[in-house]
Amino acid sequence: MSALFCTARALMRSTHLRPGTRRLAIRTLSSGVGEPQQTSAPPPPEETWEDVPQDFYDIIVSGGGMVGAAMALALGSDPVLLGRKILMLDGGPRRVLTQVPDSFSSRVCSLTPGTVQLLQDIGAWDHINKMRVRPYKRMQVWDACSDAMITFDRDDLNEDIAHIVENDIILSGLMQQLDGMQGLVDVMFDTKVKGYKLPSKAADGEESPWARVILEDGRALDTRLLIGADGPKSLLRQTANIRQMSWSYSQAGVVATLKLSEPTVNNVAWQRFLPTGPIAMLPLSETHSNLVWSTNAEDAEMLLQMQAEEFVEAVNSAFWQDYKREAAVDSAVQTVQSILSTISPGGTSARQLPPSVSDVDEDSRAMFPLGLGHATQYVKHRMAIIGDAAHRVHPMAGQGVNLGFGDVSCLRQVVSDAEASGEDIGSVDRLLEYETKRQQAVIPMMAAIEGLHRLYSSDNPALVLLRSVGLQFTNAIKPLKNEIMGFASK
Amino acid sequence: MHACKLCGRMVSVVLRSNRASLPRFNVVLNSTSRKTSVRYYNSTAYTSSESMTESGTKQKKTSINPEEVKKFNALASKWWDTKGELKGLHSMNRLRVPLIRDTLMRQHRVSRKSRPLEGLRILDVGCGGGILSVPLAKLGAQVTGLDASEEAVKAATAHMAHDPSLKDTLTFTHGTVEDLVASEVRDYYDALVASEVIEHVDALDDFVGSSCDLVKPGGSLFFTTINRTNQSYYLAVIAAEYIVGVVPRGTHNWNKFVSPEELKDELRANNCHPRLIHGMFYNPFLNHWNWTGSTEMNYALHAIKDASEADLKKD
Repeated sequence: MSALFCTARALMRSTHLRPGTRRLAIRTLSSGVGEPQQTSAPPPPEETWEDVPQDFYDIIVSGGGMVGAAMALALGSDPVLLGRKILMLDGGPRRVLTQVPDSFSSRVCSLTPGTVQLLQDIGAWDHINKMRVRPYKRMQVWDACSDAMITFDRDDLNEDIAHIVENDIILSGLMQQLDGMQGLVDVMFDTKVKGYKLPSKAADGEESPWARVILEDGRALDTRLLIGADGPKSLLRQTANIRQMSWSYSQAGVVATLKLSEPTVNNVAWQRFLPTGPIAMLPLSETHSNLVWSTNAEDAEMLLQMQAEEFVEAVNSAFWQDYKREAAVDSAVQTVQSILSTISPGGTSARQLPPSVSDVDEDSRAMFPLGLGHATQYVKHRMAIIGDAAHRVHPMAGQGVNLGFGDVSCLRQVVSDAEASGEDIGSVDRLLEYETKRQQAVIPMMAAIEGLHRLYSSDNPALVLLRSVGLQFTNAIKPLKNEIMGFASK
Repeated sequence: MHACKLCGRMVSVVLRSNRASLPRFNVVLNSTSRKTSVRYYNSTAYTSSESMTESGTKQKKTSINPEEVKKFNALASKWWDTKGELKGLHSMNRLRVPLIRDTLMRQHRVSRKSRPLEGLRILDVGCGGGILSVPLAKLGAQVTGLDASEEAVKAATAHMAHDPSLKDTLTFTHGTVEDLVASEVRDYYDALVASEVIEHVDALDDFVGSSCDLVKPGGSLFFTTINRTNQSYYLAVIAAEYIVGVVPRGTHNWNKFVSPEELKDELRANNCHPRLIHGMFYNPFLNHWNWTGSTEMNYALHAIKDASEADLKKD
């Protein structure tokens, strides 16, 4: 196990680029499994409360990524909050696609029906749908070490189970909708935050003044409620001294845009658990699919450096190749299979093979480190964190951004209820409702994903047997599968 | 038969009204899922007290008791600690703010969800530190908070001073309803709220009389208070103050608790008609208020002042 950590450290330290690859932001995460990471807060800015002139907003959303933009939109379109001053700010430039590019971006998300509903409610889905989305109807998940497999679908393929959408397109759709919200939501781009100042709830209960955002250009903005959507290394979370439980996996995620050998209906998502990590192929169009391959750090590096043909070969064999099998496991799986087909003859479907890949798009290969993170608190007086700032998961279940959008729905509801009752929207008493509700949703999901990750990270025959038989049974029990799909579709 | 929107139980009638010309208001409120019954009590006689001065002329006794005022002066700094001595009042907002908001929205046919009480004048009698006044002002109403304790008014004013959105809509005044009436204020407020107040006044008749004078014809009066029953003695006084300690000791004098009948009689005597009465119950362990069918302990009452003949003809 320590060897894996060493490779992780090695991965984190190597930052120089190599030809033929594009590297996404590699963040150096400190190593060590299970220890709560205490990242030190940056030194507080020098200004006192009185020094700097301030603008006042009712709500400030710090971070203009997918989750931050959705939060700003959700608040701005709430009838109860009409007339409240809402601001979204982001350190980067405004990113809107004037037209949909011919090539696909390799960073994509799988959006659950719950997320699509939220995007519809806030008016962004129309923009996104007009650009480019790919609904899919089935997901097949299978093991490399055995013949066990599970498929998820609805109603004999009549309904979509989720949508694959490129991140750029999601963000663009949200921005387009925000453009139409002039007067309801203010937006500031290229606005870097220097620091935050949070009031402490004084012991005698005297309500203290506002939360303050101090910008690089020296301006200070006061607000009743400061929402942090500033990513896994959230400055707001650190300023609030919220402890975070986090560890990095010894894996990295490799993404790429793949060209299929021949056009196909392509409405199935494929995921195979290899001993080194899961490899997934997500449909983008009739001719292209997206690759997400979680593997150990060295292999990930190699994959990025390979020539295109080698890479394609590696992908195809990862999906198609037969791996070393234990005879005991195989016979057990076969026995279970025959039992199940006797009990429910139509209940188990045959395993299909994913489409073969002929090419990889130039410059589409990239990698990003994988890790888990969970903030012990999501709220404090006058602040709340949403999205990756609060929780970060392994991409294998396609849940990361959906959890963030779930945060948006919940926090909007809580703030709206508070405003409708004339309460202080920044009061931690009410914000705790958001924290409780979301932790009840996020923690089980994180535990499940982490459990799956550990279960499938080994080729220990006993574990393989356990998980294979378990998978087969789950596949055969339709109500259980429906429960799982429901859990993953919120 | 209709379902009580507060507690969910089917009821055939809530209150009798002998003014058929007044519009019937169905109170639309967020309902809880509790199913309990609404019981109707027999009315008890209540005699109003009048004092005779030495010269023999009748003098209206002020309804404020100086001892009570001193009690609340001492609490001034504790008003806004939501987990402190007065946490019960903060948590009561979860019931009384929606009650007032929804009743007034219905009455004035307001459909907008943001600042729904805009344009309405509300008097919060016995406002204390402003615990109820502030949410009502945030909902858009023009709120005057009135309290006989100068410390409380000071505390309230200081507390809301830093919020820019409240300075035009919320003011606090030191005084009593009798003071206002004496300064020729009549038929002025769209709503008057006396929450957890009437159990502290000496002369209920004077207080209710002055309150009704201040309200516009057709305007609303809201009261929340504690019933005078055995149950309320053991729970609201003994248990709350001495055993569990959620209310400061000596806050309540059981003899001054007001039964719903007494209050309704006083209101009717002043041409105000009770429209809704509903029980409330406090769980001190969770610091949570619920609507409940029984008015044995706490209850809320909504009454409407008669519209004058002239107003009726206008409609």
